[in-house]
Order: sequence, then C-alpha cells, then structure tokens
Amino acid sequence: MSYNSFIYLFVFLVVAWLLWAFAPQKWRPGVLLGASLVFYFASTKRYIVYILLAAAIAWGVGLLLGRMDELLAETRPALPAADRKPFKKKVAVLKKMAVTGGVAAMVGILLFVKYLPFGARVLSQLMEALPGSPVFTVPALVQPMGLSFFTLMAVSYMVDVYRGSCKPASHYWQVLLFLSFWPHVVEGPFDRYGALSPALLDPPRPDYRNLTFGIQRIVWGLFKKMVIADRANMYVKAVFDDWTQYSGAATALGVLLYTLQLYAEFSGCMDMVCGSAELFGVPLAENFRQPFFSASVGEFWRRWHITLGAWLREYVFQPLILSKPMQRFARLCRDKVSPAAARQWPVWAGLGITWALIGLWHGAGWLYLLYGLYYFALQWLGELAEPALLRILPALPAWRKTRPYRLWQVLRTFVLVNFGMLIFRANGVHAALDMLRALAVPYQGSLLIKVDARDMAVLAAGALLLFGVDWLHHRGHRLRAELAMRPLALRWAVYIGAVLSVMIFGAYGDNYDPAAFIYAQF
Amino acid sequence: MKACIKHILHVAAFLLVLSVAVFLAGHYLMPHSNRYLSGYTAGGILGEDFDTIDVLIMGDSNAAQGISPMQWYCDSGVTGYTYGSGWLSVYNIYYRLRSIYEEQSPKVVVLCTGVVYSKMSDETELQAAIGDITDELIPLVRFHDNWKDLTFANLLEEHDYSWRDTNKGFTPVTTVGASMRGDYMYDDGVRAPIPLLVRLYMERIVRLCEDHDSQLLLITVPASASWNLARHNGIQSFADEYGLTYLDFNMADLNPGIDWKTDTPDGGAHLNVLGAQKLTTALGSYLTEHYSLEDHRGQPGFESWDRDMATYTDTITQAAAQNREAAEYQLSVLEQSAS
Repeated sequence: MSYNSFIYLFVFLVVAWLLWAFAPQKWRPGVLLGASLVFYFASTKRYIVYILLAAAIAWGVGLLLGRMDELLAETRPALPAADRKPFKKKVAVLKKMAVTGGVAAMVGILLFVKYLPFGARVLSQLMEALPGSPVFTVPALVQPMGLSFFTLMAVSYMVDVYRGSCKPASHYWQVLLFLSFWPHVVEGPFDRYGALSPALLDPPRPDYRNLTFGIQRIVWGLFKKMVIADRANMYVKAVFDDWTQYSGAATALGVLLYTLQLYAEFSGCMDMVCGSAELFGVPLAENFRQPFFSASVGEFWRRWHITLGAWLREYVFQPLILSKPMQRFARLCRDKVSPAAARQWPVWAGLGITWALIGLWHGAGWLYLLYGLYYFALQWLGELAEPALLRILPALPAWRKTRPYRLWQVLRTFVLVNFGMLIFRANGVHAALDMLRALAVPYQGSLLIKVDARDMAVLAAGALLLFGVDWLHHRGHRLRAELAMRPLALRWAVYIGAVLSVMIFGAYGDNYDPAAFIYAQF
Repeated sequence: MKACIKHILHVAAFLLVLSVAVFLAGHYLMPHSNRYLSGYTAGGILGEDFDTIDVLIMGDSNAAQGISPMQWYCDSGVTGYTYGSGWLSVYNIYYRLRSIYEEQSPKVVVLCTGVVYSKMSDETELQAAIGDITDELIPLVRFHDNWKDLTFANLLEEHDYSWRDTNKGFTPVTTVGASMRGDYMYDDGVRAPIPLLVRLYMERIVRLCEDHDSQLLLITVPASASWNLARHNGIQSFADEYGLTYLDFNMADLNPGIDWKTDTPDGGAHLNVLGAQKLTTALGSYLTEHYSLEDHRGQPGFESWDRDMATYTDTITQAAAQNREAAEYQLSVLEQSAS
C-alpha cells in the first residue's frame, strides 16, 4: 500500500482516523497498533513475522534490562558496603551481555536478509584468486518492507534502555506499535522510543488543527511526489538506463533531474508520513531541513536524511571512537606519529567506517559503498586542504563571512552532491564512470527525452515552488501557521489550488510511468 | 460541541467547493471532440444519431481490431458499433455502457470477454478497480493530462461531439506477425475464476442490459497469445449461471477459420483485417440468425450510413489488399526459414 495510493489516502487513512477519533481514549493506542498491523500485513503478508520477531527481541531485552536495574536498585542498598561495587559490576556486565545479544540479533537479521548474498559474492570474488576455490552463491532472500528501518529502531530502543535514556516498555504491544507504526515503517524517519512513545501510548484527543495541518502536509507531499518526482522520473529513467546513448548536457540534465527527483520524492514521502502521523497527534522526527542551502557536504548530510545521520552518529560513530581498540589506535598514533594525529586519525577512521555504513545501508553493493566513501573523501580532502588554502588565501576567513562566498559554497555543495547522486543512481560502478566521462562529451540531440516542453515547464515551475518554500522555511517562516491566519477566501483558494495542481499536473495515468518510492527499497 | 459542529460544517463547505472546482476543471479538460474521448475510435459512437445502433460491441483492443460492424451493414443492413479501446476494463465498460444508453438503445450488446482477465500485471485487483472506477466517476482524473492541449483560444470553446467514424469503431490493421504457438486451447482441466470485483461489475452489466431490454451476448475474440481453456471455462461458468449465450471463437467448433500465420499483426494478441473479416462474418451470421435485427439500408434516418458504406467499402478493399500482400510476404519468410 503506497503512501500516495488512493487506497491509502481515501480508505486506510479515513477508516483509521475515524476509528481512532471515535474510540475511547484508552483504546486509541490499540487502534493505532491494529491499523499499523493491517497496513504492514497488506503490504508484506507472511513476512510480518520479521517485525513481530524484532519487536519480541527488543521488548524482551528491554524488559531484562529494566529488571536488572530494578534488582540493582532494590538489592544494592541491602548489601554490605564491600559487596556493593562487585554486585554493580556484575549487573553491568549482565546488562552489557543482554544489550549486545539483542543488538547482535537485530544486526544478524539485517545482515542475513539484506547482505548475505552480497557478502557471498564478495567472498567468491576474493577467493577467485586461489585456484580451485569454491564459489559461494546465496539466493537473495525476500526483504520484508522496512527491514532496514525497524531493525535499527529496535537497536536504538534497546541501547536507549541500556543507557537509561528511556524506560523499558512494560508490554510487548508497546514496542510492536513503536516499530510497526505505519507512517515510519516504510521509509523512516528513524524515531526514538523515548520521544515517540508519549504520543503513541497516550495520544492526544482528536484536534481540528492537527487534522487540517496534517492534510495540508500530505497534499504538499503528494505535489512533490506526483508532480515533480514522477515527472522527472521519465527523463531520469531514460538517461540512466540507456546511459551509453547520452552525453554532455543530456547526461548533466539527467543527473540534475535525478537530484530533484530524489529530493522531491523522499522529502515528499516524509511530508506524507509526517502529515499522516500529525492527523493522529503523533509528531514524527523531521528528516529534512532545506539541504540544498548547505555550505558544505557535511552540512548537507546534517540536513538530508537527518535521522539516519543522527542514528549512525549516536549508535555507531560515538561508541566506535570511544571504543577500546580506537583508544589503543589513538595511543599508537600519539607514540608513533604525533599528538595531532592522535586527535585526528581515530576520528577519520571512525568517520570512514560510518560513511561506508551509510553507503551500505542504502544497499548491498560496491556502488553504494563507493557512494558513502565519496562523501567521506570529500570531507577528508576538505579538511586536509584547509591549512594549504589558508596559506594561499590569507583573506579566506574574512571572505567566508560574505554573502557571495556563502553563495559560492552553496553552489559548490550542490555540484558535489550531484556527482554523488550520479554514483547513487548509476547502473553499477562502470556505468557511473562511463557517465562521468560522458559529461565531457558534447551532446547534439534534443534535450526533450521522454518528456515534452510542457513537462519541462511543469518541472521548472515545480522546482521553483519547492525551493521557494524551502527558502521561506530557511528564513524561519512557518507557512501553514501563517496561512491559517489569512482570510478564508485566500486560504481556500490556496488549498483548492494545491489539490487541483496535484490532480491536473500529477504524472499518473496511461502516459506516465511513476516510480515506486525509492527509499522504500532500502 | 458547538466548536465541533462548526468544524464539521466548515469541512463540509470546503469539500463542496472543492468538488465543484474538481468537476469544473474536469469539464474544461475533457477533449473538445469526441474523436479523442477514448482510445481507437470508440468515442465516435457519440456522433451517431440517437437510437440508430442495434448491435453494440463492447471490449478492448481485440474488439476494436477484430470486429467490423460496417461489414454487417453492407451485407444485411444491420447497424452496429464497436466500442473498443486498449486496456478497457469491465469497470470502464459498465460506466461507458451506462452513458451510451443515454443516446442509444441497442437490441444486442456483445461483450468481448478478453477484458475480464486483462488487468495490468503490476496492479492488484483492488488497485485496478479503484483506478478505473475513479477514472469514470471523476472526469478530471481521466482527462487530467489534456491540460497540455489547452490554449487561450480553445479554453472557452464549446465541446463538439458530432464526429462520426465511417468504420464504426473498427480499426483496420494491415500488418502480419505470425503466431507459432500451435494449439493454445488444450484441456488442462482448470477454470480461471473471475476476480470478485470483476464479477460484481459483470453482474451489474447483466442487470444494466436487462433494464434496457438489450440481449447480452458474451463472445471471445480469437487471441492465441492471451486466451486459454481455463479462461474459457471461467466465462462459460458465468454464462451458465446467468443464462447467457457465450460464443468463444477460439474453440474449434466456432473457429471462423483464423490462420495464425497470416491473420494476426502481433503474434496472436490481436487480429488484422484478414482475421477481422472472418470473425465479423461469423459473428454477423450468428446475430442475423438468432436475433430479429432490421435491415436499415435505404430507410429514412440512415442516409449517413448509406453514405458511409461507400467510404468503408473503399477503405476495407484497400486494407484487405495491403494485408494480403503482407500475408504473402510473411508466408514466404516462414517457408524460407522452414527450408
């Protein structure tokens, strides 16, 4: 059930909202859970067992951790002073074992289903060098919807309970609702149990403002997906699937349109899911904050897919650089190289691993690894080049405070991100290299590939509107709230105009080939 | 409570205004000519004079390329129209038939059953049903892409739905692409069940025809690429249940003599002119034998049909000659490849 399908918007959401709104307050979480399970089952059928299992493991581990904390709190004061510390240490070890086991189970499920065939392929390729070595082939398993999202959210739940930053859920259904909540189970965002559970488990009463604001956000998401992303897809698909036929401006436009497509689609999907959750008074985490106004790729990734970056920072990067092997590595750098290297190199090693994981999270393949490492290389080279740049251009710090320089930085980041998008969308590493080379070869044909001039006009107008709205948000405007203060006639004109725009200019029907949600495949 | 009622009224008023806007936009985006209302030349039926069509054929592209009603008029004066369009579904057909009944009173409605199983592979039954029904109920959804044809000049132009098709919905295809599948109606002992929602709309079509005193005849156009005995059995079972006559021209006893080496343009998915002539003759004979259909030739009110007859004869003669040439070439290629 796609978020932009008729069934989801006009059947599922309407029925779920009515049941939720008219249910007694104490039953509302149950309605949300029922709706989530119906949504998940309708899309995945028997593979629902994965999420049931993940929730059971996470709940069990959380419960165990909670019991151990209780045990510590109850038993420790009664113990003789000499026994208190060893007892605390023993409980800490047991807690660590429990959380490690839970995390290993989640990561194991993810690795087994998503990465095992890729791992076997890599192993075979490595073994090819040895004569008579066996060839490993593992058939690709069916990946249940949202696997990469709910397993990582389950990890965050267990680790948060372990760290004491959230209380363990007392009932299995509470964790199941958190993991399977339909607005975030397909494409995220990566929510935290501590932040989401108050609204999920004790939802606010139906609210007219939540209802209208939620619908408005869904319509805006539909506009991005159906008018911009699905229209751009026609051009993008032609250029990327048949990359040898195109070069120069055609390839460059294909890359630009893919960037536009991915942004409109992913952020549009987030608008739809956040709007859906808002109808029920549940505030999901924001995944985008005007990423194309970023001055560096680092800033770009703090504004693009925010919750994935935050998750990796909190649950991978930070534990990694604080880990014992990394501390040993830092000592080694200090002893053998320099104190500066001891500060920098472990951080870069941690970042390299984190970026590789960001790449691989998107898919099991070399191309995705390259995609992650591309951003790592950009950040690393940027840092390395900084001292040299400052020597060549002593006025650089002063320039950096000027508007033209900021504009240059934004443009530079945009171009670098587009190269990343080329790698991300290309049909393999060779195709990506071919396309990079093709950018330098002039293109003689028409740029209207699979689209006509009117489609291009709609794309241009849609992009202007998208970035215009982003700009207003960037400047601190709260558009829905501001619009709500305007006269009725103006508000209704805007709302009706928005709905008609989606219905008229949406790329649906016989003449179009809309793409499935890209991030739903990860 | 007061605030709640105010909000409900507010939402109701907004939905009302939105509905008016959607239907107005749909009206302006409808094609200016009935020529472009549907695929092939199905929309031409709206250009026909009221109550002049005695036999109405409803179906998909198989019908549009396979049944030529003007041939019946030439042979026996029976007036017919093929309302056929690519990927037309049972849901589409129900609503289109309902609107055709506003202008025509056909004595016989021939439903081509290829549409029963012709769902696009990437859709679920429910998605296909909702998509097609929405298309029919909200014109803006069906014609939304026509904004590309709007200009300041034609924006306020009145719709002209008087265009008539001299071929009466039939689209002659003169190319040949042999089908080498051999026997495709072998007995595998199974029955392809009609999907639930499709069945529901089939039942609605049956009732609609009864309400308008039309006799409903189920037929299947020969199509070696998409038809089989399981599907035949599924339709036969439905026909038996509702007491309907079902003619499957894929079955050996009704085969109008289709030669799959020469009578199809695309490997057995559709018929070309040579195949259509055979099927039209066979179906025409059945209709004239089993239904009391009037000979309208020379009658007042049918002058345009008499004029169309001459144009049609020229068109079909040329098309058949072209098709025969293509068939001879195809046969020679097959012979060469066999030797």
